[in-house]
Amino acid sequence: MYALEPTMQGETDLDAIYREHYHRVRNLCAYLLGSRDAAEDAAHEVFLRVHNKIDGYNPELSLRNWILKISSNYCVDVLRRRGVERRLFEADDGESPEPRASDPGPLTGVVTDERSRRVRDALRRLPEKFRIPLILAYYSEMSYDEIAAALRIPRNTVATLLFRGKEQLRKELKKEDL
Amino acid sequence: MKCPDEFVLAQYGDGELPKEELRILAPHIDFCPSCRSKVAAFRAEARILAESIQSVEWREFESSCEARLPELMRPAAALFIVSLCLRLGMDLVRKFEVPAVLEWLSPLSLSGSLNWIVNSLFYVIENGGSIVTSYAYRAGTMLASLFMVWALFALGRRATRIAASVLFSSLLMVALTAPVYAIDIRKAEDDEGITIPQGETINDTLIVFAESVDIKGTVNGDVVAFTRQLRIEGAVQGNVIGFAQRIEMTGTAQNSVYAFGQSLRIAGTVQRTLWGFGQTVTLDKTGRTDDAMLFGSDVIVDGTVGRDVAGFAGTMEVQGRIERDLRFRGRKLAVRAPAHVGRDLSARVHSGENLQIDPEATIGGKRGIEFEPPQPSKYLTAGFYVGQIFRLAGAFLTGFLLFRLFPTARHAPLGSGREALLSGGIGFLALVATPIAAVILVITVVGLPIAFIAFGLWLIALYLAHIVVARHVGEMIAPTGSRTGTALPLLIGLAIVIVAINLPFIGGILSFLITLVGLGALVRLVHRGMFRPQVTEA
Repeated sequence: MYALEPTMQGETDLDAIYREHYHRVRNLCAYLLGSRDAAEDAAHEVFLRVHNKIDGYNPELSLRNWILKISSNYCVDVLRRRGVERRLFEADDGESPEPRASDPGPLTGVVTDERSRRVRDALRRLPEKFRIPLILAYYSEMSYDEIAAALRIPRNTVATLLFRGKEQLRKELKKEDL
Repeated sequence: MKCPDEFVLAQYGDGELPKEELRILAPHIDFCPSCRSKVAAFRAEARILAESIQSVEWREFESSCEARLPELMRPAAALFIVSLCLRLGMDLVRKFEVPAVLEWLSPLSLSGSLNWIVNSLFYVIENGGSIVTSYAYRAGTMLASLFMVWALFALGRRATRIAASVLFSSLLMVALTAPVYAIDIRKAEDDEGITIPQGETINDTLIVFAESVDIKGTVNGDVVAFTRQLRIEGAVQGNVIGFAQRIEMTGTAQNSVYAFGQSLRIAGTVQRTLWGFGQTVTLDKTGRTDDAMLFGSDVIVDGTVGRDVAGFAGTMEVQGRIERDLRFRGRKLAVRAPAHVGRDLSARVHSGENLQIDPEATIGGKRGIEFEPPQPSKYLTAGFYVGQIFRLAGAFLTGFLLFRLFPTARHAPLGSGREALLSGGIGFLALVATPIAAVILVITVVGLPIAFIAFGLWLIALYLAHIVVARHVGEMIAPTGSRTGTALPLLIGLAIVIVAINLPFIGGILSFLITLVGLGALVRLVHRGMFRPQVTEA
């Protein structure tokens, strides 16, 4: 996708990468860290990391996903330092949730602007322990294993949190519809 | 074969089912129409989620926490501006005076501000009494333990050298404090008063919390009293520190008296200095003291003062005997016969008619009278604005450094109304409890340095409180962004806060509220770990 020759055109490439991905990274950081100013600081740090690690980048992988993964890991580190992660993920035992009959079914239908905004609003109202895995899975497009590694929790817990998170999201949206 | 549950199907839909399970379940899922449709629904949902989450726009994110106040800010700003214009306009048209009836309400006047202080203090004592007193009761020990806990934490965080020294000194302090803790702490249940009857002698420092306190006996140490009514008829060998609505002293204090209250009457003897802070402060005919520093709305000196009197008051009346100097600054001073001032009288009053010196009264030395006409309005002087600009610059510099050094302080917990309220409550406790704790620590002598440190930190926190709130306000109006930078929101916020706290009538209250909220936010920030080292990339 990108011809990355750090010796030749490293700087211009980094510029291009920055221009292309800055907004995406910043938005992800804002999702994960919860505020704009924290996100801007974090985005800055992320590109420093990208700059440092660019030599180790495997051009066969999507650059977008690579950068988002760096961003995710960085933000999770920040959250961990804030002491959020310990509170959030400790309590979860990773057991499979019991499916309940009263749960609304999966979200379906056409994605309109209005609807996607409502989904995002509902997402923001979710507790952090559900929100963060959901964002890692659906914004950063990380696999269960990658999320598990980033959050340092068992893979099965990731599956549970995602499943329950989506369940909560549906409930939130259902509440709005009523 | 039984259909797998939704949890499994969801994982299958994500393509994340572990290999073993996949091998067993895939044939069924591919075959079973019900399972297939569920998987399809999960996949559709995942698409919707991904699309929705990814199509977010920057402006949807909150600038800080969940600030949702901008809608409220506009009318509030309008209100500020209108009242500011109103006040300026009134001043320009004619000299504006607060109606006498409302005088007590205006935080601008001396008696008004005293009223606010005294009333809010007694509100705490009355309503939050149990919290505050129990707080004060344990504050000394708590502070010491807090230091130790913090030190333990710091040890865990490898700040070893500092932590070890703090831990060591705290241990030393606790070890040393125990035997020196010659304090008698008494606390009345419910609404009872505490009386030290005549003939009883207490050989310790006495700290009392009660609805009313009567000391008829003898206390061989200091007396510290938090009460509604404090009466001292007996003898106190040390200092008297009293916070009470009414303080009446007919007994003696061998040392100094520090009295804070609405009305203070000293008819007994204070061997050293009498510090009186109150709405009305009276040194009665029978009252005697060596030195007197009196602050109040109405101050009356009828008794005898061995040396000097300094009065800062709305009105001060002197009929007693002052062996050396009388210094006064305030609105009105009356020296009536048979007053006697051994040496000089220096007074700074508003105008000639506010100074009445009876010809019968004797003044031994010089009379230095200065007139300081009441400034028509501080809003009309250039100095006021220059002063405020300096204030803004100072606060900005401090704030800039604060947020540079501790970027986490930007996320003060003030976002929602509830957060702000919680911060306000904590701030109130911190505001009231810290000085009380410091006073108690001072008495233990060994705690003296800690008391000073605590008090210093408290003063710093009071200053920072406004800055933290200001930044939050600024952030609501001009969120930090690539264009505005981090300095602009701070500057805007500070400008607004400084205008707000200078508003006539409501400025004082606003300043008080901002202090509460900001102080609480700071306490919570520190609690959250605002001073942890910043995240840096290696």
